[in-house]
Amino acid sequence: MEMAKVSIREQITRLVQGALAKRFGRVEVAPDANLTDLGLTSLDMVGLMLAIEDAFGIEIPQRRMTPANFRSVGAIEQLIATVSLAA
Amino acid sequence: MPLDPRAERLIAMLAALDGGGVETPAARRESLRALALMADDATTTARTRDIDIPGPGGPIPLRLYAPEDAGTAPLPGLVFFHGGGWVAGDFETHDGLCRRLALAAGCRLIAVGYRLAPEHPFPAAFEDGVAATWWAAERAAELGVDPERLAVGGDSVGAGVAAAVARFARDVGGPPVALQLLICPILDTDAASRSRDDYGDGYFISRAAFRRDLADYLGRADPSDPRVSPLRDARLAGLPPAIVHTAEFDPFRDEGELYATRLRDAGVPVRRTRHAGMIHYFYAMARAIPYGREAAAMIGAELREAFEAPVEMMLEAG
Repeated sequence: MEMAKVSIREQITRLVQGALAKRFGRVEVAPDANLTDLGLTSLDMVGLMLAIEDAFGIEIPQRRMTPANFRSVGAIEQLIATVSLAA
Repeated sequence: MPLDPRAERLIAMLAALDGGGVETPAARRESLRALALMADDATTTARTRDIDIPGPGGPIPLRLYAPEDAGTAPLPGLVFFHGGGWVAGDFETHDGLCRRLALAAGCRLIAVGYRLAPEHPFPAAFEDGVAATWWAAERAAELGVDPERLAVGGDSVGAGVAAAVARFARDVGGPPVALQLLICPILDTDAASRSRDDYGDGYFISRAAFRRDLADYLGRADPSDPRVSPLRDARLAGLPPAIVHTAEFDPFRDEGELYATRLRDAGVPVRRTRHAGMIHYFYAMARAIPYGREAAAMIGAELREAFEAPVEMMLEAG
């Protein structure tokens, strides 16, 4: 049986949902939804970045740790693609 | 020494979303938990048991840690108060640190789930700290703790609680406190210092975040009350020997070091260590800042030594 392939976008979405779940329960996270508007705090964001580095085996360069790169799931997806390509 | 590169990365991560989100107390608690989950690891094994004890405002939860091979023989004890700005922090956020300390110190660690602000403002944290410490001293035999070697300790505002409890025990003839362990302590809520000026923004805890936490805990209470600002106590003589750890890039560094100096001037044995290149809370984020793991083990080892011969060890340190 073929395992369902989890896309990068979905993995990111799950990490974001995990960060929000305890406070807000299950939250739908659209790819372009603003993460701050969804209620992520700066400490959540640190947790999320560490989780992303862990999950994708990458190290996000400091110059790429910008609000724009972490604005939404879509932005993070793009960041991961860029960082992975550069590695 | 420059800022540790891993600490610098962590700060850059924080800055990436600075000012974002509505940080309600619930959000602050969850965020610290999420951070601990990602930034720390609890690979160190220790036995734990959760209990409730009676407190002035209802039951106080305690988590009891012991080294795996502890058995039932009396060991030194450490009543531990977590940091988190009086509003956040719990057993989960400090689990890794508590395990490492208990193991490295070879002691039974009694972590105290004191009441948090703003639901429970000043002096709730202090009062729960007193209740838990008195309880631990009374039940030492049951807990497997040597009553002659019962210490109080904590990190950040929790270290402030520990120092305030030690002071109160001295003043009212409470249980003998063998030692106080103060890790990046916050000891003067209203302090004006070089480190507060230099590292007040952009070094993990911002001035604004601290002000907000303080307002939630203190309300209209006097910020110089020694139950929240033990550094304001004019008389430090007769306090237990102290182990004080500070971080170079921590806004609260100077008040910790000033307390150490003033204790020593008052004839109290002190050992103090400044961790170069480090930020506040570095010791509880071992995965993000690997040195934190090493530091916690070192602090524990120091505690072990101090439990054996506090005065000698600290005099030696000079």
